[in-house]
Amino acid sequence: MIKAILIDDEPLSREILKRYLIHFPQIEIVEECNDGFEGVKAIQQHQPGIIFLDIQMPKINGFEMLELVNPMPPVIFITAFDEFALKAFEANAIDYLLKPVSEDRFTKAVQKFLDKSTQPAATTSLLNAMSQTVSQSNRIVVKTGSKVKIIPVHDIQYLEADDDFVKIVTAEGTYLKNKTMSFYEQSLDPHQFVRVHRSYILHISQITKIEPYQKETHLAVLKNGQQIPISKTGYGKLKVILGI
Amino acid sequence: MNCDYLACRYNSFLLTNPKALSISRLPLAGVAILWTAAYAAGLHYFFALDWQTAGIDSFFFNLLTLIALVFLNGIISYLPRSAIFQIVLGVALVFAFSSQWIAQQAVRQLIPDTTYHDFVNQSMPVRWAIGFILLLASGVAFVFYTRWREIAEAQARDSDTRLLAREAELYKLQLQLQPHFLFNSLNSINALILIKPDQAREMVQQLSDFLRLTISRADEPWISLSQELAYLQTYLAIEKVRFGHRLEINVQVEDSIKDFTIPTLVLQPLLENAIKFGLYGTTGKITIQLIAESKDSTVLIKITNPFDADMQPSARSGFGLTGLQRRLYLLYARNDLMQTTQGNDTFTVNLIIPPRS
Repeated sequence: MIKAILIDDEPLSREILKRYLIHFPQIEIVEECNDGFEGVKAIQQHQPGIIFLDIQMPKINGFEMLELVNPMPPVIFITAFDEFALKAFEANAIDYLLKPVSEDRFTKAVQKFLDKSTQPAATTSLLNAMSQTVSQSNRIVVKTGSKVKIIPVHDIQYLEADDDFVKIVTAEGTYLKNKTMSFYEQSLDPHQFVRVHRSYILHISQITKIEPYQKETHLAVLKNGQQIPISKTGYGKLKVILGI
Repeated sequence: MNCDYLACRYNSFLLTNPKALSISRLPLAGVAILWTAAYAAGLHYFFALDWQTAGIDSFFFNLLTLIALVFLNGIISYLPRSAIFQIVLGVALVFAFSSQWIAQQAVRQLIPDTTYHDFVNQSMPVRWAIGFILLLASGVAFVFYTRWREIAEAQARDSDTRLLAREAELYKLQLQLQPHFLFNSLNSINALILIKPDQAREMVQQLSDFLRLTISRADEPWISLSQELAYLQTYLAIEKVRFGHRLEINVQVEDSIKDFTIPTLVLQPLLENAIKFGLYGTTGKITIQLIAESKDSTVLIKITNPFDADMQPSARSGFGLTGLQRRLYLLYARNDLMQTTQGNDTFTVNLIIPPRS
């Protein structure tokens, strides 16, 4: 038996999927969710074999929800019209269904999944592609314990590399995110966030002064008094952006 | 949304055009210097004044003429427009006499030579005439220049208004097409056909009504409040099918203002925004409130939706309120018609709709 979770904020949209899934007795719907928060919880609880996921949902969208679950289950996306999303889907050859969902198309997608052709790896690269096509996103969604927290990017003081994670530091606290530094270097606004060091990305509005440190390196002093090392190349980038 | 683009276009217009319409003062200064030099040369060659006397004479008489000229042009914008040419004639006459007289007193003090004094006294009628002609010509030219400038400005404004109207048209089309709304509605109908066929037929009807009204009002810039409400009702009926489990809509409209004329595409985008932000910015049940009441000769409309202060809207959402603000400005030439207030958990748009002029 394969456990499935339906995540869509419109009951009718879930209803039609339920009807279509009757023809797949090997798939059991263990839970239906109205939004991404419920989705994260349900995925944690059931560890489903597949999820059917809407993109436009309350508070956090489908992509943001996926960033919060680990391990990521295989996903079939269900969406209305969204040119950005469609481009990302096509590039990553992952299965997505367009609303209104036809039974024929739905059956094919599920069959493809049952034949094991939908790989989570493709979803990961899709998520990366999405965050880059929609790089103007002005928030980062993180999970602390069982709670989901939405961090506006302007609240970020700096990001620090921490093994396989990135530490996101705000005035309220520090959050870990399973991403790479280069991912954030590319997806955050380069006029606001500068990678000043191999291990640090700095929000430039947080800098109060820059002091010379050792040979060819500098230290950035933040508003809260904290000091962040700046490498030689990092200093070059800062000079361009701050116009010094 | 595209409305930010509109605002942008308008701002760039404001920034670039005043420059295009003002004229440089530099050539005028050049002309004044050349004229003063020619005046001095004339005095030297035709009236046998020595160069120094001719220079001082020319400098003072023309400096005073120039001052009078600047004064004259300065006051022109404050003169009544009805009899402007008569007034300019009179002022030019007075200014010419007084400026040349002051110059005469000055040069008599500076140059003690009595033959020169006799020359100055004799030449005064000619000086008055020259001063008068210069002042009158420049005054008249300035009046015409001001008029031309006003016309050019009006034309620039007019063409900008037209540009904005065209872009608003595109924006309007975009609003009408609403691909998301259509595809989602079709998806709901698809589901209803399987589950509740009767409701499916009803929703097909509602969607058709909505589309028909959308098309028929596309060319109507104005609509009565009751018609607009009927249109909104078809829209809300569809949203209720999709989100009935979460969405409550409370509409209160005073009977006395049902015939009041309002611009199309003001209320609907606001309500649509309120629903979108209510539904996607929060989880759980929401109530959207629309209250319309009369106040003096205007109509006040208040649209409230729940809102979560902790939510950072994702980048591609965002109220299309700037676009509406522009639209209202184009229609009523007022910037104070729309106000938003953000409470702890509600977001309210207050709209004043003046009577159609």
